[in-house]
Amino acid sequence: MENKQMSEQELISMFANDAKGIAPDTSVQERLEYAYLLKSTGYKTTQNSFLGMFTGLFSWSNLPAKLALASVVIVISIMNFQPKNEQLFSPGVDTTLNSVPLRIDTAGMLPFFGDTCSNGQS
Amino acid sequence: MIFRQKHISKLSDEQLMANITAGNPKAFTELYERYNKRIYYFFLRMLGSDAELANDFLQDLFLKIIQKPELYKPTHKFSGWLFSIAHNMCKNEYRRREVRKNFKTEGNPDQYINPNFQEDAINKESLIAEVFNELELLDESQRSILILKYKENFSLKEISDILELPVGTIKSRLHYARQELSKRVKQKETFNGESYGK
Repeated sequence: MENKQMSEQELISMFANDAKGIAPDTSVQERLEYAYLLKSTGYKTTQNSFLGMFTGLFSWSNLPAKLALASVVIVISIMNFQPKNEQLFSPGVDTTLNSVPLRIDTAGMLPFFGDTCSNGQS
Repeated sequence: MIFRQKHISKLSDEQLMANITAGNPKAFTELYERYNKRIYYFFLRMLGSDAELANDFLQDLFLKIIQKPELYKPTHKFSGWLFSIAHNMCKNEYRRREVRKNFKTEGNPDQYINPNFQEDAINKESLIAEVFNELELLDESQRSILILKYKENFSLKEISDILELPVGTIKSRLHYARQELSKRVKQKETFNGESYGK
């Protein structure tokens, strides 16, 4: 009788039920957090780091929300598309840079077919 | 920052340690909240149900993490590492008590058990409480093995890493501890039965 061992299950449940509500003194945590604060002042500052933001941005977490946001941005971009109005633009030919002699000026044209006044045929 | 706060609770212990080394106070709080009750229970049962001493040891253990977080090697499982430190602290305490005992008296081996606890034990009605009071009288390594195995659910290999003993030794000590505990429980049951019978 005395040599009969308790089963694993008995032992597990016994340990699980032992001292269920126990907790350390809360002042221990306060002291430790203060000690850590003092120690961490010597560490490299991470408060202004963008690491957290980028980690969140490029992780798989909240993927549906990120996709929805990206879709909204794309839809707004498409709706806001404004094609160029061609009519408002001049052809862009600057005649002052034209190296060809002023052919448009009929006075310089030979023979003066354009000038009806000196037209010998008439 | 919003992403980061959400992130902390999902991090593994090993990742939290990396954050602690980088100076993130939220990581430290998270790690403390994960382990404080477990470690406190361990100390409480290992150090004769002395709550004050258990609180002191808990504080010392986490101070070690604060002071030298680099001692933790990420290749090891964090919980195993933490319990191995806790176990070593208890071992040192036993050694210290042993030295004191040699200086003071040669005698009562239970003299360092919390006297309030012994008094309480008489009044305890539940068998579980009585059994755990008996646990205080077991050998230190047997107590560690029982707690690590049945409270913390560590495997034999993990326990052997924590206590730095071969798996075979752990097995035999566990067997002996279970046998001893069972014997004491049976005795207690028989004693209670007789008492109630009267």
